[in-house]
Amino acid sequence: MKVIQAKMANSKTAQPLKAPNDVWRRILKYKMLYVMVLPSLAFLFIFHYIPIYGASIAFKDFWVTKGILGSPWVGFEHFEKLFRTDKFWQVFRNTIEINLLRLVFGFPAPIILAILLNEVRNQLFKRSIQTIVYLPHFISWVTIAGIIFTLLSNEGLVNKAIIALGGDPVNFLTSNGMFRPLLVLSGIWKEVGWGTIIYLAALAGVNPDLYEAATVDGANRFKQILHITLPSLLPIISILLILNFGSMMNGGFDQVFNLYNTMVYESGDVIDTYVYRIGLTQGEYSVATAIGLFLNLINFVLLVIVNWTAKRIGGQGIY
Amino acid sequence: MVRSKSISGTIFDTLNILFMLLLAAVTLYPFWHVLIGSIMPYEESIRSVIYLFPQRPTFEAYHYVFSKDTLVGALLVSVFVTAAGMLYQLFITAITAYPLIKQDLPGRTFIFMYIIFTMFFGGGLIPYYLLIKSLGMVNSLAVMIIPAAISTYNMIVLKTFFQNIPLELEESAKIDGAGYMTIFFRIILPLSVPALTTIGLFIAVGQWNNWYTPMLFLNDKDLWPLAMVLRDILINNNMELTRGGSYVSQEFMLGDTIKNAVVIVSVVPIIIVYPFIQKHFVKGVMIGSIKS
Repeated sequence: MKVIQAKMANSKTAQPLKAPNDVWRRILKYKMLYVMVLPSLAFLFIFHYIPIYGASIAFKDFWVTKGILGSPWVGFEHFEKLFRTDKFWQVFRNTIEINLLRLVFGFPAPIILAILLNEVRNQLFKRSIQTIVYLPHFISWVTIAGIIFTLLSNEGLVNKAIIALGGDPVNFLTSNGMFRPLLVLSGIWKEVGWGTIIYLAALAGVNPDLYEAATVDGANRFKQILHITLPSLLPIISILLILNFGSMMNGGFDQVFNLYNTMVYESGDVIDTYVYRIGLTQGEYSVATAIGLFLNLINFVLLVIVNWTAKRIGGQGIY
Repeated sequence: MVRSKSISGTIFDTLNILFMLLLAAVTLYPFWHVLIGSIMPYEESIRSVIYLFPQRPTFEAYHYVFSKDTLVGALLVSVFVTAAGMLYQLFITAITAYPLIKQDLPGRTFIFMYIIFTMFFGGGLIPYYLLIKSLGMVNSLAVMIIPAAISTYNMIVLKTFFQNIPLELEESAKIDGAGYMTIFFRIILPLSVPALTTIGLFIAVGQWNNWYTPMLFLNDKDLWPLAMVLRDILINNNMELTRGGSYVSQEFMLGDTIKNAVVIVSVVPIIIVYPFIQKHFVKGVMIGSIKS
């Protein structure tokens, strides 16, 4: 999804400059159109641009009673304090490590599934499987976490099966060793199907003659996948891979927040959940805003790097 | 696409189909497990490992769920928030997308950048929280609807769709003296029903699943939508369904059955609209990728 989202941002609208009179004439002609875009511009101003101004409390000693303007400036004090906090670096590391795991295991999954789906010859069967695997994308993480708890709790399905087979029950939900695999696997379970859409779209454009020619030349299925299917996916894979690095600091709040508990903070607490807790549970508004701002800054820098890289590789940026 | 049938090819096909069936089972079984768990008597559930079908199904948990004001109220809130939010967001998104298809609209690039920028940079959670608080939207259902006026992604998809509507239709309407507002309502919207339906359903699913906004801003349990009640029951393990009530034996008896029933109640509407979205969403994603 992200690539489309980002790529669609890429709308070059440069136009030749015309005489000022002409501009005014067009403004008058189009005045109703300005009225039409006005509501959303106003909403975005209120709900998006004002909070950006509000982020200035990261540099202030914010008191709710004094308001944003009335609170005194403290410069980088909150940032300095933050960078000296071990807990901050722990969630920072967790976020990156979890995202690297997601990259290694979660990223190839939809590619493999798309290739295998592409090999299914019966179209009705293929469409049925697609319908089924897209479904979890539409279910919220709250519901999925609920289902996971039912399956993996100490009295859940999986542990009942383990006990029935003579094993010892496993603490899937409260052990630090299990939490990251849980995040990665449940993430794959939910999104692998949805992730294939963009690859299948790319494969739909591959000329069937290529496969026929390969068959005539004696290439078996595996060789066809290796030499035809995979190369046709390579451009989109590289773009998505690069984009993936652009979201390296996003911990996936919905998933982690609904699955984690105090027992697994050590392995599973990410920046987003940390911000939520210290900001809204402990009321440290300024510190939480400082982290948010720091995060946004890294994301923005990553985005610029990613875009530059994408332009170098694919000749087209994402913004 | 005709491919020669070799032995290795046949083996591959068979394994592939088996894998697909396995994948389908892995995807669907958890839902089935919950569904069966919601109608299986407790005594039976502790005895069996894998639920295929209960011997004596019971709908006690559903009776219980629908007899509670909290859950029925939450269901109504969810329906309201979903319907109102969808119409509102769809309208604002569409009316913003239309002017942007005019290539020679002065300031178009600026307006576009102004909207796109919000996708990449924001003030973060706390400033947003403080803003909503100062606007007095805490403990008001308005917070579930008003702030999410426009989704940038949906706006771009709609804009791409509008661009493909033949210009001649608009030109002839203009000759008849129609203004842009009339053209938008009388020509653009009716011709875009498929795209509007798809995006509307996407918005609806998002609204229906939204537990995050109520968690942040709705402390009053009477205002909670189903997703939030679900979260309270599933994640916080709060079985206190009756307002001001306490743990009563019935809840202990039903236990997980109630949890399962609530999951089913929240998932069923999505399963019902799913075929309709499914028909369109691949197309929606395509529109997005054709653009680039």
